[in-house]
Order: sequence, then C-alpha cells, then structure tokens
Amino acid sequence: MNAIVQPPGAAVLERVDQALLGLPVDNLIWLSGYVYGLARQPPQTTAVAQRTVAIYYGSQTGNARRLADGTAARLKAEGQNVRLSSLADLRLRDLRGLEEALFVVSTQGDGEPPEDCRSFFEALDAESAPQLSQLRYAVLALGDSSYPHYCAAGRRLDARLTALGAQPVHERLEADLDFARTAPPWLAQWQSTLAPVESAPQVLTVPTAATATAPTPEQPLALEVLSNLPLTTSAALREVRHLELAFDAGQLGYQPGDALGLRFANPPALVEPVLEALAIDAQQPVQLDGDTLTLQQALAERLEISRLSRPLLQQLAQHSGDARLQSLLQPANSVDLQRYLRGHQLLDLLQAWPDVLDAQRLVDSLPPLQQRLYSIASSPSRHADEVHLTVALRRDQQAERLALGACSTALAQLQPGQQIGAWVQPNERFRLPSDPSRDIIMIGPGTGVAPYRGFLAERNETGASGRHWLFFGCRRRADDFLYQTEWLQAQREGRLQRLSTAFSRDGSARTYVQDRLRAEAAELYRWIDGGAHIYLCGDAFAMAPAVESALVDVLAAGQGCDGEAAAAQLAQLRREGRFAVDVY
Amino acid sequence: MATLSEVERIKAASDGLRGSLALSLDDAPTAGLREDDQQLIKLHGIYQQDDRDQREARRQRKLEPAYSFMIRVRLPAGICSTGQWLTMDALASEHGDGSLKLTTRQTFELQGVIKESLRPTLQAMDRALLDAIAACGDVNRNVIAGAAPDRPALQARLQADAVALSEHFLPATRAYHEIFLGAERVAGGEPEPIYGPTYLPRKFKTVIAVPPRNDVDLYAHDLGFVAICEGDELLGYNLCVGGGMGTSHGEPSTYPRVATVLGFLPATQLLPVAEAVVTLQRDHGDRSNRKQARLKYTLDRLGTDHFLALLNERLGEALQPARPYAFSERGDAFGWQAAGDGRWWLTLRIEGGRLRDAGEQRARSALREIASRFDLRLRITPNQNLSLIDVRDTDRAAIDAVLEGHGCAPQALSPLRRDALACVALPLCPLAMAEAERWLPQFAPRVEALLAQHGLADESVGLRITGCPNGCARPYLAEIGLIGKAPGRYNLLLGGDRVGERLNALYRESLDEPAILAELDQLFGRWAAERHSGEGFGDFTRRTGLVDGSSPHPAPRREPA
Ligand code: SRM
Ligand SMILES: Cc1cc2nc3c(=O)[nH]c(=O)nc-3n(C[C@H](O)[C@H](O)[C@H](O)COP(=O)(O)OP(=O)(O)OC[C@H]3O[C@@H](n4cnc5c(N)ncnc54)[C@H](O)[C@@H]3O)c2cc1C
Ligand SMILES: Cc1cc2nc3c(=O)[nH]c(=O)nc-3n(C[C@H](O)[C@H](O)[C@H](O)COP(=O)(O)O)c2cc1C
Ligand code: SF4
Repeated sequence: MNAIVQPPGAAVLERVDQALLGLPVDNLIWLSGYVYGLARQPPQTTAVAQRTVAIYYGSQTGNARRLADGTAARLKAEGQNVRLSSLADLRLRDLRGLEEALFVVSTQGDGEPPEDCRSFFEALDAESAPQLSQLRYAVLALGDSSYPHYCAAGRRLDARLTALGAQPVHERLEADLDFARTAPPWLAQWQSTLAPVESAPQVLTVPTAATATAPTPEQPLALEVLSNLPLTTSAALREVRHLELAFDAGQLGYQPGDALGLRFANPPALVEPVLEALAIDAQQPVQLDGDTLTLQQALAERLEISRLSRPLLQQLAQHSGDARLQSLLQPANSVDLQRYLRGHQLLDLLQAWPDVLDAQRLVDSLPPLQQRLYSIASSPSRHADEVHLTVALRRDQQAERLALGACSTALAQLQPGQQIGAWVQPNERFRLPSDPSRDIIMIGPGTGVAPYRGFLAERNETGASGRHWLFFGCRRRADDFLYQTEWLQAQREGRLQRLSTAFSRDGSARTYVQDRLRAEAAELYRWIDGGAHIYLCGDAFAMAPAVESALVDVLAAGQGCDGEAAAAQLAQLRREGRFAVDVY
Repeated sequence: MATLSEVERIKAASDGLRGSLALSLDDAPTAGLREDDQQLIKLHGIYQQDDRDQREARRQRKLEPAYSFMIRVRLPAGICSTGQWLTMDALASEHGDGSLKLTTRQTFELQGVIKESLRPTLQAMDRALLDAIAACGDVNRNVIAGAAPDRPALQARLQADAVALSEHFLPATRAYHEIFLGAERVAGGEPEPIYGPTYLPRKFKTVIAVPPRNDVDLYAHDLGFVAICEGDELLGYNLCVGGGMGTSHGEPSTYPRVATVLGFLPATQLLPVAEAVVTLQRDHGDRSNRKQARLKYTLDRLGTDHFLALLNERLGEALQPARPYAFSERGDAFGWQAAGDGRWWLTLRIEGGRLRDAGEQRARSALREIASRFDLRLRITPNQNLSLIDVRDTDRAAIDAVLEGHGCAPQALSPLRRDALACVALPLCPLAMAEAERWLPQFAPRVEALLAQHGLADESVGLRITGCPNGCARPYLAEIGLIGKAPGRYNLLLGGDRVGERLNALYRESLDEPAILAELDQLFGRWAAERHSGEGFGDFTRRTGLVDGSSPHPAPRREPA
C-alpha cells in the first residue's frame, strides 16, 4: 500500500454522499467493507523483468490459503513478480530453476498434509526428486498444538527441501491456532530476505465488483436465517439441525462441495460459567491485539474457549508449578496431552487452578476464536439465493459436565429473521464430475451426508444422466436418518438410483457404512469399473479410515488382486480426482 | 362395466398375495412398505400404521412417519391356551408396544411392531401354533363365537365349528409361510378353490351366536349362525346374512345394516352353506366401488328373495324355515360363573380392550402369572374383555389373590362403565377422526356421574364410542353411540335397544364433550321422569320420538308435546 494516504477532494466526497444518500445503516456498514475490498485489489504493475517469488500453499480449511493469498497480494502491491499456487497443482519440474519460494502448509488428519497435496509430498519424497540447490525457501507450518503430530506436514516439507539441497532463508514458523497473531511478523521478516524490487511505476486498475465482494472471514456477508429446525427426534442421542440461510441473489457464490464459514460468538452458556469461575468482574477491561475491551466481550467474541489449547496449559503449568501439568507437556506425552485437552474444558482448569491466571493473562493465553466450517447442503441451481447447512450439536459428556460445542450451540439458538456473518470456503477437491454422464457414489454417514443433498439437487437440476448411489449411516432409522423423506422421494422418483443404509443401533449387530460397502461389493465394483466417482465425507477419525479400507477390499475383490495393489489403485483414483475425500 | 378398484388390481397382480412383500420387508431405508404391499399385507393379518401424534413433528424433521405394524391374530372363538397366551404376552414386550389389545372380534392385536420384527414375531407365533393368516383383508376373517359356559358340550361344539369355518376359508396360498416363516416356494400354482384369484370383493365376517346372550352382536356381521339347541344339544343353525356397521360421513349410500335371517340349516350343513354365501358374495359383490362391496349392499342390490333363491340354487336344496330363538342379554357376564362341568369361568373387564401394566394396576403381569401357574384356558370376548375358562374350583382363591396382588381385583362397576366399548382410534388407527380408546376412561365416569345425579346409576345403558363412522365398536347398535367426526367432535346417536337388534339414529351432529354431556344430562332427566317401568334408555328415546329413522342419516326432530 502507499504509505501516505490523502483524503479525497470535495468533488469526490460529494459524489459518494449522493450515491449513499438514504441507505440504511446495515448497507452503509456493509459498503464500508466493500470499499475496503476494492482498495485491497492488487494494483497492476507494468512488467519489469525480474525474479519470480513463488508462494505455495497446502490448505484444507483455508487458513494457509488465505495467508498465502494475503502475502502474495502484498508482494504484488510492492511490485514483486509473484506466482501463487496450491501445492496440489505443483509438479516437481516446476521447482527446477525456481530461486525463491514460500511454503505455507497446514497439517491435517493424524499429522498428514492436506488432502489435495498428498501426491506432491509423495513425489517430493521419491528418489527421483530433483536437486534444489538453487532454491531459497521458507516454511510457514500451520497446526494445532493439541494434536500429537504438531505441524508435522510443515516439518516434513522443511526437512525434505533441506535434504534436496535447498537453502532455508528463514527459520520455519510453527504457527498454532493463534497464527493470525504470529504469522504477520514472521512473514515480514521473511520478506526482508528477498531482493528489493527495482522501482517501477505502479498503475492502479479498478477491480471488478464481483471479485471485490466475495465475502471473507474478515468481511463476512450477513445471511438471514430463514429456518432452523431439528432433523432428529428427541430420542436421538445427538441433535442435528437443518439451517436455511438467505442472501440477495449474486452476493454469495458457491458450488456444491463447498463449505460455509460462520462468524459466531461463544454462547452465554459457555461464557458465563467461565466468568463465574474466574470471579473477576466481567466488565473489567483487557487488552487484545491492540484493542481495549471488556473481559466478557473478549471471551464471547474474540477468544477460543471451548477447545482447550496447549499454550493455555503451558501458562498454567508455569504459573501453578503443577507437576502433572508439566509432565503432560513433555513431548513424549503428546497423545496424553491431546486426550486431556479433548476431555476437558476451560472451566475445569479454572476450577482446579483458581487465582493462577488474572484476566489479562488468561486473555493472552487463549487462542483467537477459530473458524468453524459446515458443508453446504444445498445447490445453487435449486436454491439460487439460499444456502443450507446440516449442523450436529456438539455435546460431549465429559467427566465433570456436558461440554457444549461453541459454534453448533450458537447456531442451534439462531431464530428465523436473525442474521449471521458467513463466507464460502471453496473445496475444489470435492466437486461433481465435469462429465454429467458419470455415475457417482456418495458415502456420508451422519452429517457427512450434507454435501450430497447439494450434489443430488445439482445433478437433478442440471439433468445429469449419470446414476447416484448414496451410502448413509446413523444410529437409528427412526431417530436420526438425516433428510430421510427427501432421499426416499428421490429414490421413488428415480433420481437416486440406489440407497444403502446402515443403522448402528437398530439391530443386534452393529452395522456401519463400511459393512454396507462390503455387502454391496460386486455391484459397487461394477460402478467403479464403469467410471463412477467416489465421494467420502464426514468423520475423519473413526469413519474415514474404516471406509477407505472397505473400499480397498471392494477393489481387491473386484480385481482379484491383493490389498496392496488395491490400495495403490485407490490412491490412483484419488490422484485422478475420482475418489474425493472431505472429512473433519 | 365400471373399472375395477385399485385393490382388485393389486390382488390380481399379487402372485398369490406375495407381491413384492419380501423385498419391501428387506428395504432398510424405510420403516414402511411399498404402496401395493401395504394392501397385500392385510391379507396376512398385518396393517401398516403410524403414530399420528408424531406425524407433524416428523414431517418437519424430514423424517417419514413413525411407521409400525399391527398384527391381528387369527383366533377362532377367541380361545387360546396358557402357552399361547404367554407367547403373545412375551411378544408384546419384545416386539410390540408393551400392551396386548383385545378386539371386538375376539382376538389379540400386537401394535407398534417394527418391520424388521415382523418375521421374528410371526415365527414365534408359529411355534406356539398361532397365525395371523387372513385375520384382515378381503377374506373371511377371524370367526367369533358366543359364550355358553353353562352348557360345556355345546360350548365345545361351537368352538369346534368356529375353528372349522375359519380353517375352511383359509386362503390356499403359501405366501405367508414363504414370506414370514421362511418356507421354500413349492413349484406349481396353488389355485384358490373357494376364493379364486382375486379373493373376496371386501372384508367378510362370520359369527356364531348362542341365545339367549347376544354377546357377539349377531346382526353386525356378514354371515351369522344362530345356534338352535335343545338343552345342551345343537340341532342346527339359523342363517343370517348382510349385517354390517361401516358408513362414511356424508355418503348416504353407505349405511349400517342389521343382518337378515334367511332360514335354518342342520349343523352338518354348516360348511356348505357358509361356502355358498361366501361364493355368492365373491361372484356378486361390487368390485369397482369398495364402499358398496360388503355383502350387505350385495344383498340389498339383489333383494333378499333373489339372494335366497341364488343360495338355494347353489346348495341344491332349499333352506328350512328359520327356527324361533330369542336374545335376552347382551355384553359379557362378568365375575365368576360356574360352568356345567364343575369348572369355572371368570370374566374380567378390560377397559377399551387395552391390556397393560399401568401404575398400580398391573393387569398384564397378573395374567402372565395366572397363565404360568394355573391349568386353564383364556377366552377373549367379543367385547374386548377377557375370560379365564376351564378354571379348577381349587384354583379360584389363588387366582383372586393374584389379581388382588396386582391391583386388579374385580371392582363393582356401574353397568355403563362395565359394558362401554371404544375402538382403537388415535393415535394408531389411520382412519380415526377423533379419540375413542384414550377418551373413554375420562368420559365414561362423567356420564356415570350424570346417571347418578338422576338416580339412574344402576341402570344398564349401552355406550359405544368410535373414532370414525367405520363402526369398529359397533356403535350403531348402541343405546348411546358416539361417532367421531373431527378432533373433539362427535355425532350423538340414540335409540338402540338393550339386546342389539335395532339400529340407533342420529340425534345431534358434531358435538364437543360439554355439549354431549349437556344433552345427556337433559335426556337422562327426561328418561328418569317419563320412562315406563323398566324401560331402557334406547327404547325410551324411540318411543318418545326423540329419534327415528335409521342411522346415520339425520332424522327430523319432533319436539315432544
Ligand atoms: C381392533 C378393532 C377395534 C377394537 O378396538 O376392537 C378394529 C380396528 C380397526 N378397524 Fe375395524 N376393528 C374392529 C372391529 C370392527 C367391527 C366390529 C365387528 O366386526 O364386530 C366393525 C363393524 C362391522 C363391520 O365390519 O361392518 C369394523 C369396521 C371397520 C371398517 C368399516 C367397514 C365397512 O364396511 O365400511 C373399517 C374400514 C374399512 O374396512 O375400510 C375398519 C378398519 C379398521 C382398521 C384396520 C383401520 C384401517 O383400515 O386401517 C382399525 C385398526 C386399528 C387398530 O390398530 O387396531 N373396521 N371393525 C376391531 C378388530 C376386530 C378383529 O379382531 O378383527
Ligand atoms: C470442511 C469441514 C466441513 C464440516 N462440515 C460439517 C457439517 O456439515 N456439519 C457439522 O455439524 N459439522 C461440520 N464440520 C465440523 C464443524 O466445523 C465443527 O467442528 C463442529 O460443529 C464443532 O464445532 P463446535 O464449535 O460446535 O464445537 P467445539 O466448541 O469446536 O468443540 C466441542 C468439543 O470438541 C472438542 N474438540 C474438538 N476439536 C478440538 C481441538 N482441536 N482441540 C481441542 N478440543 C477439541 C473439545 O473437547 C470440545 O469440548 C465440518 C468441519 C470441516 C473442517
Ligand atoms: C481434522 C483435523 C485434523 C488436524 N490434525 C492436525 C495435526 O495432526 N497436527 C496439527 O498440527 N494440526 C492439525 N490440525 C489443525 C490444522 O492444521 C489447523 O486448524 C490449521 O489452521 C488448518 O489450516 P488450513 O485451513 O490451511 O488447512 C487438524 C485440523 C483438523 C480439522
Ligand atoms: S372405528 Fe374408525 S377410528 Fe375406530 S378403529 Fe375403526 S377405523 Fe379406526
């Protein structure tokens, strides 16, 4: 950005005033962001031959991608030649001759790289990988220190690049959930290692409105709640709700497969007990990222209080001197640490160690409120100005209490007519086949079924000729079969050709989707062999590995090959985009 | 020719009542059956239902209705062994909703059975020699028979005849055994020698009555046999045809009808005569309009004389003239009764036929204990009640103690409470327009209190409530009939007699409970003041012209002078 900002002249202001005259406050607030967006569009520079800086990201839920985006925009604004791309689209030979690169990569699953970058990581590990001695690079690793394999993907990438002879120009940053705080200074330092730009005249071009308005986490779009109803009965073990949110047509672009990010505040049910346990005046002012606000505000709107994190435990361990906490924080105990973090709430800590943290110290140790994503359960072809979500209420029975999920609880309480800020998190790796005659196999127990509601609607609306097969699982058919009447109707009308269900608590034997996959192996293989695309969505921890191993069995049985060959084939399907996974 | 009704098409295409039932049962994503199979499964004694109380909430949740199934047992004459009772009792807990429903046609129903439990339930019944074959649908249904405990040999004979009738009219198809019991399909067709490929045009009900007690409501059934006896010895039967209750609101072409007595037949002729009536209905019943398909309409369309002529033609000889008989009582005889053979009967009141453990009153548990401890049989009455029969004298005190211990000692009930009937209705009956079974326990005491206010507490007044005009509790034969029209609203019918020979008629339409009570209050007042000695309430309302005509059509009201 230009260093000195000049206020616009009177003529300009008059034009603006005229255009804005009489607009409601909401619109004015929205427009302030819009104008900011316009200003942030990268100015176009005249081409000056210079070295290219590559910025690569590996991202699952968008954090790494957004950091990379922002950095690229800043560099471009300063006249750098920037190439921005996902590691998913990077081939090894692109690295040859490259001299300057930044890698921003998050860790997923149990220490794995993001879904779409796995083949890049594999290729890089191969013996045939090129020597990269010309490359100067830095790695920004995103992670969550409550996981045992903290920032594992970033570490792995860093180590491999060094092994291939590349030069780290700046020490790797392992950024925890508070990356928004820690990444900018690190990035600025990294940037200072780049060769300065030969000055060139900058030509500012007016960006198009469409690109300027795509909502972001910082600039979410206010959606209106149309309805918010349970999909499960009161007998269900877990409540799942269906939300319909509306926007003015054109304001929010999405495709089936995308997720929606939501701006929410921690609900009072979570905030109030914390304030009580602290026994500090809720109105006490605290400092947060340069703002002064009340403790209550900070806890409700800015800080993560439902998911425990490592830094908080570190603070407590340090100030309380508690031996057990200190031992938990030993690297050797990372699995226990994760279990501990998942099994407890902030409240437990505050009750066990009252008086250890004062308001400011607490605020300093809590990570910023993390985004929550929800698979979009609608198709823009059917609902042009609506987006639907399928939200499971998190209520985990912990030793001491029922631990409420922050965002899902907040969403459950939304009333029709209320507004909520949102943005789209695109997922290019989870798309319908571009060929409408392809069959699709959709595997999605629980809320994993959400994107398929959008998929089916989209394919039906666009008259796709391929067949559809849904594998759904839940506990009881009578209580938590999500969207049951819609699936049954689609089946009756011949829009959903096959529907295979597994109800784990209905019969004496527990049946899961993976059992249904194996039971239908022969027909399933015929579909796959005929070119069907396979989709897998839902729980990452127990379900996804079990389903993948069932798919391996299906392929092995169909081809008469061994498990290893079948696994390789599944991996191949995945690389080709014929097996797409979106698990969380 | 008019087009065949949809159900006729389904039966014809069903491949011996198989349809796609086996596939429907295994169709995991839905708790229900495919549409055609919902019709077919009735002929196997099973209805698909849903809990209507939950319908709207489930629709909003994008969940299908809470489907479950009702299984109606074929139990000729309503009699079962203790082992069979215990089987049904266990199934009610394991696969049903925890209750046993005793019906107005002498059998049990299990309700709330989910699809996946149908096979295990029917298999368990099969092991106890029970089945549900033809308990519903367009066939001859469960055959019911009246009580004559004082004449044990006759009682045994009537039960044997009920069983013979029931078995004679069982469909020949093995579909039930294949679909539910896992039998292999035997090659080759299985012609239905009596029914033919499309069975009967409509449900068909057969009854055996034993004067002087009209506990079975002889006149409400398609085919009735009145036992004509000399002492303990059965001489033969009077034949009755064309009874029926079902009507539809606002459709005057539908009406209840009391059966017509056609003649007398020797006992040996029972099956041939029954078969001739059944095949007459098979050949002459209306197959295009199900609302005109019952035998009562066939009979009225053909005319009684013509019908009789056709019948005699099929029999190859003429029926003898009907023999005299008379009913003097109705309903069940409650309490202990000595049977002629030194054994005893104990008839227990089961309000609404709903047998369950409710709070302190653990009737189901009591009967479970009785059935496991004592040598006896059980008989479901045609009025939703239960008799323990063939009880040893020496066991009576112990049985009383068991009942007492479970909070079910027989209570002295007013005749009104004792004899009142209410059909299943909400929440499971799909046709119900208003409450019945669930309402009876609150409503009956209020009527009882009104009677008491007018000094009529000990008078017998027959009250029957149904949730819709189909008439499952035979309300058109009641002194006071209440027929559901809309939630909380009923048509009030008056003027039946005390033994069930005369239909009542519409008195007031669409009343809510306070209005019903206000009408009854006033009517009871007049009855108390103006009745002839011993005059029943129904007879009184007729004599004084409060109602006339035949139900369910509104009769012009004449204010008495
Ligand atoms: C259980 C029972 C009432 C009770 O509380 O005891 C009953 C219950 C039902 N009756 Fe009935 N009927 C019952 C005796 C009767 C009687 C009384 C009798 O036969 O003595 C009648 C009047 C006599 C007659 O048939 O005319 C009767 C006339 C009907 C009708 C009207 C038939 C007609 O000709 O219009 C229907 C509706 C229909 O068939 O279309 C019906 C239909 C039904 C159904 C199956 C509703 C349906 O079609 O889906 C009800 C099931 C509710 C449930 O969960 O049980 N039920 N039904 C009785 C079972 C008898 C049995 O064991 O077989
Ligand atoms: C791409 C994507 C798509 C998704 N789609 C859906 C969807 O369609 N429907 C849906 O319901 N959900 C979906 N989710 C999950 C959703 O984003 C939220 O994670 C979920 O709703 C829980 O959030 P919460 O705020 O209610 O609970 P939280 O407050 O986040 O968590 C509640 C409990 O979870 C435990 N916990 C979970 N993660 C951690 C952690 N990292 N560290 C410590 N503790 C943790 C804690 O013990 C806490 O008590 C999706 C997630 C992703 C990434
Ligand atoms: C399902 C799931 C698994 C994760 N596993 C790890 C992990 O093993 N190690 C880690 O450091 N972080 C893990 N994380 C945290 C993410 O790396 C962190 O949220 C990061 O900010 C996501 O960046 P992205 O949006 O660019 O993918 C996981 C997150 C999710 C949702
Ligand atoms: S009378 Fe009507 S409401 Fe009552 S059980 Fe029969 S069909 Fe159902």
